[in-house]
Amino acid sequence: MVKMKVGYASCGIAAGASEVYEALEKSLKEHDVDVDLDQVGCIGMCHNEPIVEVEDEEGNYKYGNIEEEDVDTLVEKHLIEGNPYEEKLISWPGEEYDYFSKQKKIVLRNSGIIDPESIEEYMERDGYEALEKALQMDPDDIIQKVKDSNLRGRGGAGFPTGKKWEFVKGSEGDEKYLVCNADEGDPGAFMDRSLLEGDPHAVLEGIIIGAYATGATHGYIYCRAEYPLALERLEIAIEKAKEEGFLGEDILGSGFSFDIQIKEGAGAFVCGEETALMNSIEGERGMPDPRPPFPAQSGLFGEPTNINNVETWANIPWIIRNGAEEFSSIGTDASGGTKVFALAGKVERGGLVEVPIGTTLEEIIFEIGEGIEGDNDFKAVQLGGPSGGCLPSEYLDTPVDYETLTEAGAIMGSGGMIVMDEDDCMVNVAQYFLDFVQEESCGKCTFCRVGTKRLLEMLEDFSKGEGSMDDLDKLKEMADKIKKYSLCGLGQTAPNPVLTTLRYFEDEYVAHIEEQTCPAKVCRDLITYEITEDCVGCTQCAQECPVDAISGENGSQHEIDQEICTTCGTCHEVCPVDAVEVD
Amino acid sequence: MGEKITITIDGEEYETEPGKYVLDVCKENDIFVPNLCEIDYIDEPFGGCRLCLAEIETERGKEVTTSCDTPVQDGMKVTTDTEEVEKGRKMALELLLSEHTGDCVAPCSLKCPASMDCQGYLAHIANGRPSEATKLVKESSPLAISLGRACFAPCEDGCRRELVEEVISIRQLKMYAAEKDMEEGPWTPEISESTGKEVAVVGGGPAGLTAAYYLRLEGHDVKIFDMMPELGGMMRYGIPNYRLPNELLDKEIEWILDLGIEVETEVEMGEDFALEELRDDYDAVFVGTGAWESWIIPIDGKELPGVMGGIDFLVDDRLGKDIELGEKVVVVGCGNTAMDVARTAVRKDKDVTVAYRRTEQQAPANEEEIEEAKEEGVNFEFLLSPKEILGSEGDGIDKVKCSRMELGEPDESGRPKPVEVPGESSEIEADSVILAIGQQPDLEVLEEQGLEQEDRTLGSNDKFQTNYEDVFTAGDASMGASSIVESTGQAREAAYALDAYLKGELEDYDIPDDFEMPYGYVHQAKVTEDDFADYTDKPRREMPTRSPEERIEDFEPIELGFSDEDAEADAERCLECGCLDRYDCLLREYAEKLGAEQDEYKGDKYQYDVDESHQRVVREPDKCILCGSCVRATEEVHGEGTVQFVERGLKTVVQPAFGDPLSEVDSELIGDLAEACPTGAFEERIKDTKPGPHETVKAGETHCVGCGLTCPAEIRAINGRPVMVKSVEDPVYEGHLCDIGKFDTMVEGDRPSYDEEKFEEAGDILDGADADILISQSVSIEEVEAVENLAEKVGGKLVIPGDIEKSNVDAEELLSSDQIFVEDGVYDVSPIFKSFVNRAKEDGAEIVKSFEELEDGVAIITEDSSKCPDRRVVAHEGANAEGLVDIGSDKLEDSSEVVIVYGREVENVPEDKKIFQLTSEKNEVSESADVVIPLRSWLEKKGSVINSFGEKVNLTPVKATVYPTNEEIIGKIMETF
Repeated sequence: MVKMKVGYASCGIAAGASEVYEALEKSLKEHDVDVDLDQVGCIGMCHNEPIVEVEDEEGNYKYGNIEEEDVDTLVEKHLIEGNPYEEKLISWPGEEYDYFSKQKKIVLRNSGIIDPESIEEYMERDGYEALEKALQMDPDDIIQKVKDSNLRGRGGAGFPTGKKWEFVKGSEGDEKYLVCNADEGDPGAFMDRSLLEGDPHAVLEGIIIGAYATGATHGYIYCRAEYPLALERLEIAIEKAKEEGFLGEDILGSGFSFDIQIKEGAGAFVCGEETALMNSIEGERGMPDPRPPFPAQSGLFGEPTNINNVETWANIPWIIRNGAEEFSSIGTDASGGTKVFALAGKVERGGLVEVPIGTTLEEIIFEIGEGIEGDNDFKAVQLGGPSGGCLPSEYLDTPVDYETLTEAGAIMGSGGMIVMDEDDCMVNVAQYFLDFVQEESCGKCTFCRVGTKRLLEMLEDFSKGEGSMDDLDKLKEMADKIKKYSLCGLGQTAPNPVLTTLRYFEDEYVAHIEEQTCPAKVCRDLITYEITEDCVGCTQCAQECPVDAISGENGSQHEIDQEICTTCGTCHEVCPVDAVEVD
Repeated sequence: MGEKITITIDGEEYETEPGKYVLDVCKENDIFVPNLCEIDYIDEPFGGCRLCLAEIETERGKEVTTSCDTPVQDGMKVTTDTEEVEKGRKMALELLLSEHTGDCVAPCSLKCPASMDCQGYLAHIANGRPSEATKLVKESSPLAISLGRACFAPCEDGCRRELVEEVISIRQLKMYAAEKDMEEGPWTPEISESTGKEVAVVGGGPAGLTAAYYLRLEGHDVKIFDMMPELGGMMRYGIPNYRLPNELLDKEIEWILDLGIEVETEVEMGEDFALEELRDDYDAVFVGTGAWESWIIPIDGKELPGVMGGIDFLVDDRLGKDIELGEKVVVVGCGNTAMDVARTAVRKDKDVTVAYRRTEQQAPANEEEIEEAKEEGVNFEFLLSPKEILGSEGDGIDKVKCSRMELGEPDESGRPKPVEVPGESSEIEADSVILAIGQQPDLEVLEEQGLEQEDRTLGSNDKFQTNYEDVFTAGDASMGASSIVESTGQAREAAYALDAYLKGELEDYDIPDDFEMPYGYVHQAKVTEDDFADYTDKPRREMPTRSPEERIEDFEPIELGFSDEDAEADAERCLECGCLDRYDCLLREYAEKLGAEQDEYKGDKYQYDVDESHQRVVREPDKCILCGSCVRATEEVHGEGTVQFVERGLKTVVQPAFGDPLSEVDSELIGDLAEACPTGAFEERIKDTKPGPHETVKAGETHCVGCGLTCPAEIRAINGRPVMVKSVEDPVYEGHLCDIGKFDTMVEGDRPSYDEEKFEEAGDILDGADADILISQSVSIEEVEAVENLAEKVGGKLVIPGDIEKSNVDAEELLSSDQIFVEDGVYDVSPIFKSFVNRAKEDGAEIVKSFEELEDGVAIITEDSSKCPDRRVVAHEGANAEGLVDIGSDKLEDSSEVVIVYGREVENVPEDKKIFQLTSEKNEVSESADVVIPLRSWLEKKGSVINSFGEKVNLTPVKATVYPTNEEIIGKIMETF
């Protein structure tokens, strides 16, 4: 039977997938066409959402940017007439979309393909085979395999996963815990969410294998409440896995028992930090603790705890199934496998991207992402969210791996990748990320709570053309100390956006401070808008101006009263003839 | 344990055990590492303040990191004072300071050139203790009366009460306190043991007297040499009697000299002795010769007869010299001396005009002085600058020719400069002209004595040392003409420098910050009227004064003095701007030590309301540095904090649940919050109307008798009065004390009056009557014996409340027990029991929910428990319940006519019998009792009790008393029938 799939992850739904899905249901009924209509997880092409796939005897057809009104046409053309709806077609049999051909799917291999709420579909694609296999192995052999695979923590820090498991296994405790960190909080990052929405069983299977290998008896998935769909699908997955005997008492008759529960986080960014996360699970305020002791020694409820990120867990079944060697052959010498990135910003084709570790930024941004939107030039890419750093075009040939990025001042982080063009002001960018972090500081340690705020205030001054070069030195000094002396990762990485923008774009800072200009023309206190002779007097700008700063007769050139103007830029945006210039 | 490892700190090796943190080892060995968030009795480091940075080197490398959370490792090398470490600590502290808002010290004190603790002495006055107020003043200057009468009161310029309605009468209140103290027999300081050193003080004015006083207190022999017939300097000869009466000045000087200071008057340096001689004869010399020369402006006619200097006029008048003063007197200048001159002349029935080249607002004289001068009939001509004195040698002065002035651009002093209005002049008729525009030291004399000058004064370095290392100076000689308060303040510091010189410690001697930059740190943002919008207007109490008509008739004092009631009421208006934590704020201590600047990092601060709802603890979130110690300390006892962190980022704040006011928080650990707080975010205030704050001193250590736990407690006192109870670090009790101990049991209440007649009344009641004795559980073993004798004599029963079980498990056994059951009500007796339970739990004890589940554990039960398990700790309500168990019975005899109630915590006193009460504190029973005789309180008596762990605990008196001992009281009662 012909199969139809609608990309039904949060991203697709936001783009209108549920309306499209309903329209499809209706249209199929009206046209009396019998197809197998499915909701699947994220297909990975945010730029083409909503996406509808048709799988018939010819093969797989992908339609992008489908709107409600396109549905009838699609049904009529493809299903009734048997001709593809060419205007909306983005990929078809024999002509695979190059967006995917550069990628290597390990953790996302099922996402967008199976119905995430169906354990059967997961099992059809070798699901839980790895678990069965693992349960017959000696736990030490599993750990050895994970070590050999060269898998490193995908949460950002890149600690070797096998080694961590080994520590946990070797630690003594009355009980051992396992935690899946699904507290993805970086602005612009949605890898974990998509994965949980698209293939929850892969994560679950990895977790159960990890629990068996390390001897954990109880696990928690710490997931933010802002991910309702992920939570719902996880719950379904856990329920089904229990029914199938993959979870609970005496799993698959192996004698090994393990249960897992979901803990909803309230959305504090700092709870992505493992000690804060564990405090939150224990019902305490999400505040980090000094390490050591590390969670592997004394974690949840004071017991040895194996805490790994969603994506890390999802790699495990693949490694068990395909072998460590196969896994480590992907990626670099220091780091095996792939990494999922959330490619966003001023890029032509944004979306979820999975590539072998070591792929260069250029390949990701220019080949997969097809470069910068419009005619602008690439300026920088922010890696690793607010904890990461901004790299300029000189670094485009950088292979994306833990060490190289750290050396360049950025971090791999959990995989956020935001592309910026010449219209982005780097002082403003640093300010944006810092503002996020300082608001999210748990308030515990001085450098993070007060330091990041003071740092932000200095940036705010710069963006107003205030401050001196001495202040810039002070800023550097403070950023350096916040990085070195903060208690947890949040504070230790908070100055990264500032430090990297300073490292690669210091001239922009200097321009703000010494010349009181914003080269990218973004900082509102440093720009003015003028109406040029091109003005046709359409009055649009005057009507839209929120502070009534624009005057002029209908049909003649308008004028902006600079005293009143708040440089919000509305006039610039609405002018139909581009007669508003920014200076 | 057993295993030992060695770490090196700053080059020294230290042996320690694994499991400790670097900071622990530093603390144990007194190595300075600043830290604000570590609590000794809590093992887990918090790691919040980030102040404890140190360079730590292991085989993995060297890094600067926090020492509180770095576990020690064998062979580790720690350096606590590298440049990087110091920079990091300083930045952490400066960041903390940038979000900390408040005033370490009140603005009145900051304005005072002598750094007086105005807020402190106002508090003593408000609390009805003028003598303690005066003692406090005298820590800054011995001239309390003189300053009270004649200070120009810059403190009042700083007073924020003006933002409510009017400033506090700070000067007049000092006057009230000082004179009252003098009347009632002045407070007198103790003099340190004699050092055998001798100091000559040249000049007996404000500077000389002050220096002599503080040098004498340090145990040096002091002799004052003065050129005038009487001591006092400008206070006597420059200030008229109506402002500073001779009689009071004499008393003040006499009080100073009575400390054993020698005096020789009418001897002048350069005339009667040379500085060189003093240097030979004495170990050091203090030169406080003042500024006795009037400045004479270069004006035509200044040599005419009838022209004189202001200070010359005042001195001559004081000396009773015959001054030829014409009917019309023109006084040039408008400072305080000019006012003294003008008002003196008015009192000689002259027509007086003050000519001043600036405006009234710019005049240096006190507003009050100008106002009073006007009331007395002095004419003022502002914006008039004398240019020439017209007259002749033979006929004397005719007029003063003046130029009309107007205000121009600001000059160096920031005041608009008066400039001449071209062509406009004016003439004032005059017979005498007194130039009161300034004074200076007699530089010629100083120079002859070999002393070097600097800016027309006697030069000295920053330690008040002149070009001779053994000669120090202060006051007008060193500053030029100034005020009493400036002279006395500077002289005090000079005296301490001189003292350091005599002790050979001058090199290391730092002039305290509180003098150079008064008290270091002020953090209050700009304060406006809006900040005090909630205050009710309470206008200042007016000082009664004589009417202008009356007072120009003589030189008698104008101010008549406050009544006690007015003084207390006015002092009560004080807004208490200065921080309650002034004397033990760790943040301030570190800031001074590390040289941290409060304004290095500026930016947003969040402002919260001050919570003063609790009687004894004030919460000021603006001062919180988020160290979390309050949360963790109370959490350690309760299992959850009495307060919690809320919000994120810089907005993070620690508060009780739902932001409730402290008074509504259901916790007996409010005091613990203040004890844990290293700065002023939770502050303990003493019970008085005004808390001061005052520096408290440890009066002694004893135990709380609030319940059977008998937690160790430190009693702190102000001037010998116990005012505060603090917890004591102890291996068993750790460092907690509940509010029952801190604020209730161990704080003395109102004692019944002692009256010999009461004994006879008691005897009348007891004689021949049947009497039982109701005794409190909180009575010492020794007292019980005496009370037993009494019981025997009256033939009655000794009754203790309730059936008291004995504990049979000690603290150690409880802490190491495997299972614990806690009966309901135990934590009401004392929340500190929870601390024991939590610690046992941490060490693995299982907490069970019923007696039945208890297999081999310990039960903590209440006194009226229905069940008495084998192994138990009884939460007794009284400190000596265990000591009483064997002697008591539980019922009064119906037949007894009289009940003797012994001890303050006795309940269920029958109403139908005659009551004879013995108590250290008045209570409800006292109101209806037939006879009440006072006892010594727990702070005064010696004795022992047996606590809830069956341990005998000795209580130590911490307060001196004149009362008989309680055993003596009982003995005395027994003699009366």
